[in-house]
Amino acid sequence: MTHVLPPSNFKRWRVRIAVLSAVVVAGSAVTVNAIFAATAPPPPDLLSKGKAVTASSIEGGSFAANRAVDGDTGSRWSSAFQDPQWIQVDLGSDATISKVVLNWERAHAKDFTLQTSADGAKWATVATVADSRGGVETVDVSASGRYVKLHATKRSSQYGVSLWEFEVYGKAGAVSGPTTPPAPTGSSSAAQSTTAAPTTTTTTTSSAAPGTTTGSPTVPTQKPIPPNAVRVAEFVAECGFSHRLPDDPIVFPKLAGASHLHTFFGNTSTDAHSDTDSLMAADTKCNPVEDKTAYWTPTVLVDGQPVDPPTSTFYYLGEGVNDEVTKQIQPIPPGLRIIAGNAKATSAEGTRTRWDCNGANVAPSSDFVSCPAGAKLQSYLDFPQCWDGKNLDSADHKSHMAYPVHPGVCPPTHPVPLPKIRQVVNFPISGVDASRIKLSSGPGYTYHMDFMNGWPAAEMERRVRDCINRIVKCGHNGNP
Amino acid sequence: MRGLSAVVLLCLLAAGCVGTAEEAGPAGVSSAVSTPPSGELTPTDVAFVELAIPQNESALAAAQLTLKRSGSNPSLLALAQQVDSGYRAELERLNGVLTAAGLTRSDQHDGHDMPGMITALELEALDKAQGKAFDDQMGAAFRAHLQESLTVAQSELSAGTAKPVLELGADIERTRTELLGRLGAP
Repeated sequence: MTHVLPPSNFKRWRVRIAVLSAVVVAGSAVTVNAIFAATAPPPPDLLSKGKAVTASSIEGGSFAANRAVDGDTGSRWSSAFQDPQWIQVDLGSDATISKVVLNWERAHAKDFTLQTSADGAKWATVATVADSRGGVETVDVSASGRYVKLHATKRSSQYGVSLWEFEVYGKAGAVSGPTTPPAPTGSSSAAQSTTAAPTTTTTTTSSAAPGTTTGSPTVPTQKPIPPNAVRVAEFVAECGFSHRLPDDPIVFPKLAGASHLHTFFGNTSTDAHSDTDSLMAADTKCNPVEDKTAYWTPTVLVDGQPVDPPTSTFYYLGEGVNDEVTKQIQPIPPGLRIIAGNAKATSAEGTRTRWDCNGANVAPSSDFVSCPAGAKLQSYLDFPQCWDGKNLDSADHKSHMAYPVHPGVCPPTHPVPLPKIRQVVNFPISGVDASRIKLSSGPGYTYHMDFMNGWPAAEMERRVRDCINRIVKCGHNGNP
Repeated sequence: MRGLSAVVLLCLLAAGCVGTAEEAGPAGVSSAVSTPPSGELTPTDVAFVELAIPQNESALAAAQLTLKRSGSNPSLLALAQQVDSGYRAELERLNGVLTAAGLTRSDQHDGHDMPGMITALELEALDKAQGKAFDDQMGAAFRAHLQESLTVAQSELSAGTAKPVLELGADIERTRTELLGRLGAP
């Protein structure tokens, strides 16, 4: 049973309840809405479609937050596999909000609140839902604001929370008697988001229930962070497929043809002879164009024939270590080589690669999975992020890097935290049985991704300082 | 028979001094990664030797399996005989180059399904083949190995620097060309 509980101190709601008190059935939002419809003829508009949307996390590149507002019930936002999570939409201007329709994927939120805000910084809880059963869930609210946030505190399964669509209905435009604080104007906007809420006098008129705001970490000042910035340490590069070669400039430097077939992304010049200088002098298929990194994987073969993905997404993340360490993360040094995954794995055990399907619920596996027609085979792999601080490579090409240890810190042998690189690759492989898919390096669990740093030092430094250390989600351009 | 080839591989691994990465003396940040890890060997020389060793070992195991099949095609048996003796000598030289440079062999390619390697899994399948099928499949496996070995030797000759490694590269280039000629076209 879904319980929709309007907050008790919701003045606007109370006023309407009072007017209609005789016929309102307590707790039945549908009844309330039906009465509104009778007394206030114009039906609400869908305000959220195609609007700017941000989220606490995404499971991968194909589960971007904007998939929840694209009007397509075949695409979805899906979060990382932990509590809590949130997704918020910027309606573009202040609006009266009458209902929120949540079209849940099977992995839904069990407990969540809906919050609104005029400025994206101070939030008022407008509905609290406990024990949701998912499905298509309509939550009637009476609120106003420019920003609407779903804050999920408890998941229904071990997976994340996922929405096919997140729809906000109401009427755009100015609202009389706002129930959420008005947006600060001008330059005060940025400043306000970085200062403590209690200094803002408007909070006294807010209907927000105490203790329901989502605790965004306080940020060191200086550089302004936009009020609607997502507080996830991240910048991203999307790098197109470039070419294939049986070369590997890390494992077999200058030994042309010594390797199994590799699929190269990003830098267009990568071959056995590549080094940092040659990469920096060449072209790239990355967005941003500043990223001249050479990235490569073993080539995926279907029935023995190469199948290349159009692009690979590289998330540079502050996660994997605790927030204090994230703030200390250093730029990836020029010339650094890193390999993720194990090309000579002999079993799925202990491998970090995850294969699943983008567009279908298939249990993730260390080995290839069979994706139904319409769903794409997808790989995820996280690079080790702790550096020994001395070596740009090592004889086994692994020893100079390590994964973090409990409690989210880098081990003493590898004390320098770097951004964690997460690669997400979608392959144009649908409706193909897993038994027909191989890698040039062997079974699916031998998947690996190599990284030969091609970021200009200044660009890397800027992104780490502005996005990772401050825990702000940045786009391809390295800006929030 | 299957057990035998596994034993051969194990023995080779044991004899091949499986070592650790740290001993290879990684380069410092300031001196960048192109610095020779040890002695006069460049990373290219080391990579070549470390690839040639497991390539040779895998072919040696395939040769052993072939020699157990007394009914095999005489020219295939002769090739296996030549590989058996020639590759053992090469392996000694390859391991000797690493030892002389103060390096212990890394096991990073052992058992790896790489071009030029005849893997334990392939040998298992070959062991089940009979008669002409065995000869054909083993011939194809040797051909693929020899071609890749030749490619890598030529890359070493064009990009390597250490004299003993270049000499090995030249010998490998010559012998693989000769063995490919002996094997004939597919």
